[in-house]
Amino acid sequence: MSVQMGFFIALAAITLWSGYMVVAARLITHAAFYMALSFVSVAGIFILLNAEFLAAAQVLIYAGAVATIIIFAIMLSNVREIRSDADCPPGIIQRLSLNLRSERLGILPVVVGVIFGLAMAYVYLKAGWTTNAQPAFTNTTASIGQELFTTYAVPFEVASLLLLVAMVGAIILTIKEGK
Amino acid sequence: MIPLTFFLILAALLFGLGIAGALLRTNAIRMLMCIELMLNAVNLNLVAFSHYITPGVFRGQVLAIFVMVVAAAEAAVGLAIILELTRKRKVIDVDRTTLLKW
Amino acid sequence: MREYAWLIAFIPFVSWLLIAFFGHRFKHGGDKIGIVALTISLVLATMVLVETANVAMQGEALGAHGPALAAAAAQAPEMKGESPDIGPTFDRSITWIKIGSIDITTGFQVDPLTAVMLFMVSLVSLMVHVFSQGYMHGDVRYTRFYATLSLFTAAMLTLLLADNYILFVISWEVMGLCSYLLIGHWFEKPGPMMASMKAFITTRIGDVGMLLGIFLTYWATGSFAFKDIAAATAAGKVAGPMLTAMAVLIFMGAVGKSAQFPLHVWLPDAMEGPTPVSALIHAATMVAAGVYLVARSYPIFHLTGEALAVVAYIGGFTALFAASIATLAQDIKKVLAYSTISQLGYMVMALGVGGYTAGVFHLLTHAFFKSLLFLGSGSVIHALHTQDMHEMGGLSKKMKVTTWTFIIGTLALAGVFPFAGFWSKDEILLAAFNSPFKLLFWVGILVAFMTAYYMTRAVTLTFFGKPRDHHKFEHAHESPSNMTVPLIILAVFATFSGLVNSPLTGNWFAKFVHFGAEHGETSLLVTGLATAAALLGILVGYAIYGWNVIDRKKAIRAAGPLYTALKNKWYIDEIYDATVVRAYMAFSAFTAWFDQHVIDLVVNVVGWAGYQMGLACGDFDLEVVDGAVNGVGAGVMAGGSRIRRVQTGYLQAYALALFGAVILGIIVYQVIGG
Repeated sequence: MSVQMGFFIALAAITLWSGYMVVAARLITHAAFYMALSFVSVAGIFILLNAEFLAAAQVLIYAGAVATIIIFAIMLSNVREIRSDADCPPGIIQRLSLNLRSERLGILPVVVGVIFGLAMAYVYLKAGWTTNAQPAFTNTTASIGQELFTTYAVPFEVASLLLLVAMVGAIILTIKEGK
Repeated sequence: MIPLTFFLILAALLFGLGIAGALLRTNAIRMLMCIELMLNAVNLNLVAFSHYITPGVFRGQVLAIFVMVVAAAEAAVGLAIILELTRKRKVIDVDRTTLLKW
Repeated sequence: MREYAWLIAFIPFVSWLLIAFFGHRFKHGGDKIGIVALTISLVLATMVLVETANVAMQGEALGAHGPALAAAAAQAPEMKGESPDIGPTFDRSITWIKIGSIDITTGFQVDPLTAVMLFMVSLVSLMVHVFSQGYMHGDVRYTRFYATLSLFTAAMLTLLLADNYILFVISWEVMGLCSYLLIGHWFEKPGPMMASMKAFITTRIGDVGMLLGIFLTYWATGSFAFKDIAAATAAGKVAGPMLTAMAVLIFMGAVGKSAQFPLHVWLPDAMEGPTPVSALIHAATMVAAGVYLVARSYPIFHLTGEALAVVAYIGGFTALFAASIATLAQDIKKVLAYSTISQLGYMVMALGVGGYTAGVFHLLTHAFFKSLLFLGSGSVIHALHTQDMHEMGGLSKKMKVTTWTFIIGTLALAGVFPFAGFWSKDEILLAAFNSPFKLLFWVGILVAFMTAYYMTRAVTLTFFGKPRDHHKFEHAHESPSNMTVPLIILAVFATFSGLVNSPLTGNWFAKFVHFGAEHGETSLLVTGLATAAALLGILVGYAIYGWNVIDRKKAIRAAGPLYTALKNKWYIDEIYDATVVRAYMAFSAFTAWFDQHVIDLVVNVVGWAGYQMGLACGDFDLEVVDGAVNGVGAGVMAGGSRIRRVQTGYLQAYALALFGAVILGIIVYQVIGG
């Protein structure tokens, strides 16, 4: 087992565990931090895939920006319920059973999630992938920049417009009415 | 050398977790987090394909960047909607906001 | 400069939009916008005129626009294939409408005729704009008045610039609309309201003919553009009765717009409108559009002797007929209105006898002195608040500027040397004298006499003698300077504009505006006769009204039925009432009867049959169709009440269904796709 494989297994384990904790954490604030952890470990996996720029972007955007605004949103909303642990009784067995069952949909969500994961895994295993050899060395960041500003210039601009719209939309939605 | 399939299976499982979480938890913010998980799984797939199938060409990574952009936009607007919802209806539980029924 | 000529029409258009939408926000209701716009237009029009004249005169110096054209011009009327020269023409057009193979272009053209008309219209319009500041002061719809005035000017200038019949007709109709709006400016009173409708409907009769003529022209020549039509007619593509029909139908438009004999009735009534409007629209510009139409369509007219004869006789008759009514009219504006009709008849007659330059020249000079006379009468009316000449008199003591400018206008209209009217009237009489229509020459002399007579009568009654209404006279006063300055400027033009076509300037105008190579020997006989007629007219008029040599009561008794007929304007309105209107009413009554007894019967039978069928259908409907419909409805209801359970409104239920479907898709794909 190579060093790379060791890193992969460790990162995959952290990713899946923190992903599970996002779903199962008792407090939503904890869930948010687990989510950030999961993002960081995915960034590690990106490095394994020679995508160092994307790894940096992942840490900045997801772990930095998205996780932060979610935590801010939790802190800023004054509905008690948002931070309640009403749906998470104490006791590991009860918690687990609760985590596997939805009040309204029963066990179905878990079943759907599991079947989806397994089905996709099966599909991936069955497909014969023709992989190609890696080039010796490439400056990934420079190449991505090249692509973004030449071939994908228009989508890039559209994406910037999307961000602007989202920003304006978010501000408009949260403006307090009247007075 | 790690086989491509490992990454793909990891992504599939992460996505499955996301689905299960989004369907299980009624807290809107937690649903949003689960959706972010799913998007992460998609990015993982894209980067893996880019690395293994078309090495030296960075289309997959560029697409992943666009996914991040969309995810950021979605998080901003989604949270704004959730905040407005809690402010207007004092409710964060999506089961108690069945407005779609009409 | 000529490539920017369209701006001349465009600027008043912009000013119309500005005044119409924002005028009320300005001080003085936006009148300044119109004045500024017209000033710019006038400057541009002057520049265009100067440039066109320069180009034309250079061509003249070279021997009539280059050797090739000179050769053509020398033999023009006989040679088929080359349209007679009308001077240097600047034309810009674009494709406007393209339907299959039909390609309609639009654009503007500047030739000498257009250039002089542009100058005249923008000058008179500017004067009227300025004058109206005083005359319309404090009017309830002041802003609207100015907006419509701007729109009218824009339309008139567009009409002059148009290089095709489509644009021509559009601006022609816009002018008609503005005329309607301005005659009916005081629509609270029944008089202006009825007059505006009369004007609109009467001119419309002529317009129908004109449209038919234009369509016929398009059908025959395949184009609406003036230059294509000119080329087609000159090449002999159209000839004989077809050409005559085209010309006569187009002439109908001119008859309506320029108030020629059968359709003249609207113009005197149009005097119900504000006096500046009468000056601009019903004396100087819009009514001249009919004459302009004939001049513009001259490539069609000049090839058909029959149509020219129609034009000449209608013009001559109108000139005489209207002048005779003017001799006895009491209302100062009515005098001027009938005088306008008479003078328009003169111009039409000139075009009919082949005097293209003469007609256009008279159109130009007439615009100056007739608008001067109308504005002068406006000044009088403004001072006295009456239009009846028998309530005036002695005003020369109180209104110096108005009096003198009015007298200048009168002398110009009467055709006294060296005022403008002398030169243009002389040209017309000369053209008639040199043509086969000898009768019309004598008609022209007679009209010249009558014109001088009735204008002298008007001046004497208004400005001289003793005041007949002392109360009104006491309150009379000279008008403010924004009314007198336009009078003075127009008086200058009325005095000197004739000189452009005099031996003094080497008949400059004739070299500038012409149709083919025109020639006319000055005839001392003609000039002498015309001047004698004019002077005699003035003498007789002053003898009767100034010196009271002849007892008017006795004269009236002597004239007897003629007096009554003239006083009643030859009973034309009554004849129309008795024939056209009565016939129309009778026809209406008949159609109403037909409607009630025949059509209604048919309708009722059809209705009854429909009702019976409806009853039968109703039974079928109730039992068969409704049964089916209700059955389907019940089925849907039953199904819906079960299916609606799915629609829980719970977000996660929907998401679950979504992912379930995705999984199903994966499985199906795996099974089928292998």
